Amino acid sequence: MLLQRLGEYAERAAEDLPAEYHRAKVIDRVLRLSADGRTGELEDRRKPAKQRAEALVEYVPHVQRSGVKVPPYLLVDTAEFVLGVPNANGRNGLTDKERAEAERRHAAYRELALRWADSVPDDPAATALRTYLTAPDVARPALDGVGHKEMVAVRVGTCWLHALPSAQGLWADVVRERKGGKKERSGLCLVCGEHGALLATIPEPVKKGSVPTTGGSNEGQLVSINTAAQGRNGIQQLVNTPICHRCGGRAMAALNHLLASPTQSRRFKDYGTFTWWTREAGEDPDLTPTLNDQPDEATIARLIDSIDDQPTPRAADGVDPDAFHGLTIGLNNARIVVRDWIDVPVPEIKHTLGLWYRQHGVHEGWKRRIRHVPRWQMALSCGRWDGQRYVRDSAPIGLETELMFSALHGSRLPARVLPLLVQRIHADRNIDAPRAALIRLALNRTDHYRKPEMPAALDETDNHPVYLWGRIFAVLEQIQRLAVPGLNTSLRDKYLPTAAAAPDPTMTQLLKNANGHLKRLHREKRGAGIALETRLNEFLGRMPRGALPQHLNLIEQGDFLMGYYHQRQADFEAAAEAKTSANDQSQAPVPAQPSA
Amino acid sequence: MSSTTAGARRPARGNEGWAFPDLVVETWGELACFTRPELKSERVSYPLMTPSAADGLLQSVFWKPQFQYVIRRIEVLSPVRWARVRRNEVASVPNASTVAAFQKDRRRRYDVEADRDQRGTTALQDVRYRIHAQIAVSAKARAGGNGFPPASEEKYREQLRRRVERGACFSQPFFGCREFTAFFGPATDLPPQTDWNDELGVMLHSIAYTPEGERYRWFRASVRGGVMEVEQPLPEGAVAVADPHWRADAGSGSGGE
Repeated sequence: MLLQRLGEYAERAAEDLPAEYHRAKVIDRVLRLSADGRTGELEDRRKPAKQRAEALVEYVPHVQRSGVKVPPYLLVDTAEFVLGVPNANGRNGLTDKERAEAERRHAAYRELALRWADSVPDDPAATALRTYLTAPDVARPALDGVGHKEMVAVRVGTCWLHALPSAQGLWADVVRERKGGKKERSGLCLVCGEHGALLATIPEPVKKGSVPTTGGSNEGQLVSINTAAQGRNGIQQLVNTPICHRCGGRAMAALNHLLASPTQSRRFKDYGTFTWWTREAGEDPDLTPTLNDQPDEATIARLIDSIDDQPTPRAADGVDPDAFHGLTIGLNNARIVVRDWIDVPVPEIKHTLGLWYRQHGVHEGWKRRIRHVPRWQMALSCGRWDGQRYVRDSAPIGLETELMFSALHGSRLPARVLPLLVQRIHADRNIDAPRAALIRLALNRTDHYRKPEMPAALDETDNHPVYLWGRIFAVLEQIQRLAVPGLNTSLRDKYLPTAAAAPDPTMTQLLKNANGHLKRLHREKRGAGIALETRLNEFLGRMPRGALPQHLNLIEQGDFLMGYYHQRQADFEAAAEAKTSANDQSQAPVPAQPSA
Repeated sequence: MSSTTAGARRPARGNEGWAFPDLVVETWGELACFTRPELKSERVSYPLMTPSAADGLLQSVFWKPQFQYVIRRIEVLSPVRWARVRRNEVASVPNASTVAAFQKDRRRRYDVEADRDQRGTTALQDVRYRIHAQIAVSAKARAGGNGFPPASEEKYREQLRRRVERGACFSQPFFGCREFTAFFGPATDLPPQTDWNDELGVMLHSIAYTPEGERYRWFRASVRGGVMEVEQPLPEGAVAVADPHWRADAGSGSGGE
C-alpha cells in the first residue's frame, strides 16, 4: 500500500527526484582543486542566518549513519572528514582522543574518495583528486577558523565532483553495501513482489524538520525495527520485512520529496504532517488549494456540485484512471508514525470534500452569503475567546488534524468537539461563524440526527421546540437591546448557559422580564415593539405547552445554538436589506413636480 | 480410505477439488490490528483480516495435530473504520539468557519504567468477517496406526461446527493483538461490503515452522466486492528466511539503525 504508492510516485516523478541516496544540503566551504590537483584553495561560502536564501545548496550524498565509527560520505562531508579538522568544542578543549578521531575520519574519507578516483582512471577530475590526496608536495589550504561541522564540497575547475554520474553510481553501491547487512540476502520484496537483494535497514530517514513535533524535531525512520519487542521473535532489523534496495530507496526519496513540497504537504504544529499525491501527473486545480485549506468560493462550489456527479462507467467498474493518496505522519522520537492513510479514486475524494463544505457552510446575514470556514479556523474556534480574538495556543492539540481526517474520510467529528465547543460558548458567550459551522457539521455528522440535515440558514419550517427556543432567545435578546439603549450586559451574557442547561424555567423567567421591555418599546418605539411581540407570540404559539425538555443534552444544545444563530443572521440580513433599500431610495432621482 | 481433500484430479469435481463445502465461521470484535510487516514498530493494520490471522482464530476454537486449516475466502461484513491508540509498552522481550540471569541472581529486579517504549497503533474498529475454510487432514492421520483408527475429515468438520455453535474455544480468539478480543459464531446472512474493491499488494499468507526457522509465505491480495479470495501463496523460492543470526539473544550486537 503505502510503500508501493510511494514507489509508483518515485517512478513518475523520477526527473524531479535527486540521485539515489542524495539530499539537498547547504555547502559552507568549497575545496577548489587546480586541474592538476597540485594546489587546493578553500572558498568560504557561508552566509549569515538572515541571508539563508542566498546560501549554496547542492544535492550531495547522504544516508543515515550512526555508531562509534561513523562512516564517511563520498566526496562531500563535514570538515572533520574532508579536511581532518578536529572537534575543538568539547568540555576539555582539544584532546588527543578528538585528534585521533579526526584523523580516523579523514583517513576513511580519503579511502572512499580514492576508491571512486581509482574506479574512473581516465577522468581528469578524478586524477586531480587522487593527486591532491596522495602526493606529498601538494599546496593545501590553511584551516584557521574552519569549524569541524562545516560542510565541504570539492570542485575541480567548474566541475562538482559529487555531481559526476560515476560518483553517484559508486555512492549508491556503497550505500547498498552498508545497508545490505552483514550477510547478503535476496528474496521476494513485499513492496514490488519481485526477487531482489534485500535491505537490512532502510538507508534514508525522513528529513529532520519535515515532521514537526513537541520537543523539537528529529530524523525519523518509517520502517524500523530496532528493539527486540518490535520484531517477530525478538528479531531486529528488516529480517521479517523483506524490502529490496530499489523499493526502500525509492519510497523514502519520494516521501522526502513530497514532504519538502510546499503545495503537496501541510504541517500541523506539534502534531505531524499531511502529504498527498495522485497517481497521474499534474496538479488538480481543485484539490491542491482545498487540501492546503485555502480554497476560494468557486472551488468550493465546484466541489459541492461534484456531489451530484454520476460516476463514469469506468469508475463504476472500479477501473478509475486516477487515484488520490493521502498520508498523515507524526514523529515518535526517531520513528515515523503513520496516523492516517487514504487511497481512493480522485472523484471519490472530491465528493467527500464537497460533502464537508456542504455540511458546514453557515449563513452570514450582513454579507448575505453562505460562508465556508477553513479547518484551522474551526480548530482555533475551540480555543478561548478573550473578547477580541481567540487566544493563541488555547485550541486543543491535534484537533485540526482530526478535523482533516474527518474531511478526508467523510466520517464523524471527534467526540470531544461538541462538548468542548459548548463548554467554551457557555464560558465566553461567543457564537460566530466558525463555531456555528462546527456545530452544524457536528450535528450533520451525528448518527440518527432528528432530520436529514441542519440547513445553513434559518429553517422557517422547523418546529422542533429546542430549535424554536433558540429563535425565541434571539428575539428576547433583541427586545431587550431595543428597549434598553447602551446596554452593558445583554441577555446572552447573563442567561445563555442557563438557557441551554435548563430551558424551561429560564424561558418562564425571561418571558416575564420581556413584558417590561415590551411595555417600554410600545411607549417609545411602537412599530418595533409590535413587530417583535407578534414574532414572539408566533414562536410561542408554534411550541406546544410543556414541549421544552427540562434539560438539554449535547445534541439539543447544538440545536438551540443553531436556532439562536440562524435567527440572528436572518435579522441581520433583513436589516442589511432594509439599509440597502433605504440607500437606493435616497439615491433615486426625485420625480419632477407637476407644473401648476 | 480415499482422500477427501483436493488432489491433482479433483478440480474436475468443482469447488476447486474440495469434497465438502467450505466451513463458514463468522467473527467480530471492537478492535483489530493485523499488523503489516513493514509498519510494525508503530503498528499499522492491513485493512482486513489476513489468512494467517483467520487460521490462528480457527485454531483457538478447535485444533488437532492431525489436520490443518486452508483459508479459502474472507468476507468483510462491516465498513473499514480506523482507530488510533498509543500505549506504553516495553522495548525488550525475555529470552533464555535473561531468565537464567534472573535465576542466578535473586536480588536482580526488572524495572519496567527504565525499559519503556511508547508505540502507536493504527487499528481497525468494529470489524466483522466471515471466514470460509477447509480442513486438510494429513496423510499420516488418514492412514491411522499406532493404535489410532484412520482419521476422517468429516469428524473434524463436525467437531468444529459443534464448537462454533456452542461458542467453545481452547483460548479466547483475538484480532492480531491479545487485547483485541474476537467473538465468533455461526454464519449469518449479513451481506459483504460490496462497494469495496481494492488491490492490497503482497500480503502474508501463512507461516511455516521448519527446523531451519520460520518461513513466510506471501500472496497477492485483492478485494472484490468486499470479498478477498485467498489464492495460493507465491512460489517456495519467494520467501524470506529469518536467519537465527539476527535473533536478539544470539549476541548479534547493536542491530540498531
